Amino acid sequence: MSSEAPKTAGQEDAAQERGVRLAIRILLALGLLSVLAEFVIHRHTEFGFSALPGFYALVGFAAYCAIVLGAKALRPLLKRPEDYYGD
Amino acid sequence: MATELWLHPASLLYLAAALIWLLPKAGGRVLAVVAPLGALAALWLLPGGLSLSFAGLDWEFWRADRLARLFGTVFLLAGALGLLYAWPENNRRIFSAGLAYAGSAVGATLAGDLATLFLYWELTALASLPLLIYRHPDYGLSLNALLRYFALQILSGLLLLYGIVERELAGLGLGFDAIGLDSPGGLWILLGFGIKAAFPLLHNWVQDAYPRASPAGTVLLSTFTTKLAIYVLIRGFAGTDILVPIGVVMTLFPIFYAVLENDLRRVLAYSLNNQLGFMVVGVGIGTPLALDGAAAHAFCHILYKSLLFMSMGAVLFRTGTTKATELGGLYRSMPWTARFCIVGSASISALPLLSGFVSKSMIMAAAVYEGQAWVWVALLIASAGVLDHSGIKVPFFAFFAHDSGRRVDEAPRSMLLAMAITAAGCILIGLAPGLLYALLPLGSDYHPYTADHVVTQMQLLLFAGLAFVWLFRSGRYPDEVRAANLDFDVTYRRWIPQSVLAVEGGLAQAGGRLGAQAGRLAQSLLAGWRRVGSDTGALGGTPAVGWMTAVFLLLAALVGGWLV
Repeated sequence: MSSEAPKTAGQEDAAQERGVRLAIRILLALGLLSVLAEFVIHRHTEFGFSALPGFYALVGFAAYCAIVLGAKALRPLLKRPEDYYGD
Repeated sequence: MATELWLHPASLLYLAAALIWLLPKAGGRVLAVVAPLGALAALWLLPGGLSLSFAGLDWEFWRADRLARLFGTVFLLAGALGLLYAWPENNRRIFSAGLAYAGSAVGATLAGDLATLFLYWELTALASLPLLIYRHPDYGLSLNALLRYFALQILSGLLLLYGIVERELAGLGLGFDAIGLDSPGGLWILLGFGIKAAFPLLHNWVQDAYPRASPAGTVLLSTFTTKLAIYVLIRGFAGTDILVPIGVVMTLFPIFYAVLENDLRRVLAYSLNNQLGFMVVGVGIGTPLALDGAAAHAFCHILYKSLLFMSMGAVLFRTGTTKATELGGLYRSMPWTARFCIVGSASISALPLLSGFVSKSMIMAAAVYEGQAWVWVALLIASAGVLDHSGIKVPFFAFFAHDSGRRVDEAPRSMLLAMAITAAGCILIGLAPGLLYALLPLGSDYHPYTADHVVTQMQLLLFAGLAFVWLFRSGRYPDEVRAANLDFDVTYRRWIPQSVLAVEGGLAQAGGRLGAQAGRLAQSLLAGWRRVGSDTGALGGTPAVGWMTAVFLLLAALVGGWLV
């Protein structure tokens, strides 16, 4: 039977990709759920600007992107050969 | 009296550190784990304090209050776990130094006067040094790095000593209570503490030295020195305003380096720096909730940071590297190490039900109560950064990502046991934060598990996680690259030594061409400088160490001048 034959690298990759896609969908669903939950619970707002619905979602996404892309932009400036200091 | 002194946890640990060299190795291993636990019992049995006058000064050799006991407790717990983790390395130097290091750290937390504190402060520097003697598979054994580390630790001690002398001369006495920036010696003491707390620009010794130690060496190093600095800041500089911006910079600045760094243990060293920033902000805010938050965060941080360094140490132990470019797919070979690493990652990311969530939020809440909107936003942004470097990058590039093809054994059993207990601690504190809160010095009443707090934190983490998914899958996430990234230490490792050589060369030319007297004088001064400090000089191993030595001698002379 074909299912008992050893999986090829391609098949394994495809299976892994399916798993990853499922995980991403779950992450997305939980994310949406966490935003919707805000309308059900009573939320204390810390400051005026943080009263915006989905404020934390926005900050999480934007700050993460800014940090990672900011670091990436700094790399040409900071990067030196691995043995730069020689010790 | 003598029996009481023997019950001092530091004495007990120093005794054990000496016994390690007399016992057979198997017995030494057991002693290394049992002694910190014995010292923990001694810490809680220790009577309130011991003061006496000696040599014209008022000493308080120990003062066992709630703050000291809290830090002493976590030092000793983490010490026992770190030394259990050290079993596979089976190295007397690590067992002995680890015990002496733990003893010095606990002695320092118990010190009731600044002179006793100074003594233990220097002993932590001395005791930690042998942990850095390690032939790292990637970096080898670097004497220069060792000297740089030691030089900065000693500089910290000299600054502390200078401040202490100024206070004594101003008639303030030796008592170690609130110091503040405005009192005599306050600035020097803060700078001395600031080196060990890895303040901005004084921070690079952490990232330089820690990743070079052995697996267990780094775990032990990550526990004591920097958190001792947080402890003394709480004691001496609570509510010092300048600490708030300093702490904010600490939470943000190292993040960018953590994102770019290839060596995953160096990523964790930058991450350590960022976590210290949260605590420093707490000390700067200075309200009871903020101070309890800083203490609680130090407690949780010691455990999850140990756990993270343990997991990466196990990877180093098995594969001989922690470079992200060389790793990936290790979950197949080291599934338990991977799981424990994820517990540490989720804890540091402040996922609800784990330890980071119940302590970091105290500091954030304190910022809100004080109306510090920008501080709060900065900490929120930094929290997203933590999720990247420690929450995702470390486990992802070591255990998942592209399979490196490495097939190794799972970590040794004693390493796994140490990781399991530490992970259990992170989960226990997350599930039952009351256990930790009961130990806090100021008895803050705080409830982390409110519906809105859990929901908003989940929003932050889930959407930051989604940002990673988007960046990684669209190819925007920066590749792991083998590189050195310039940080502030380039000044004392390259620029200053190089400019000294350049100026010297220039003067030699000027002196030769013009025959000017001034040129010759300057040249001979610089030649003297080189004799003291350069590669071939009496004091130096490198130009960097040489000029640092000169700075110390200057400071030592200043202190000496005051004393006379």
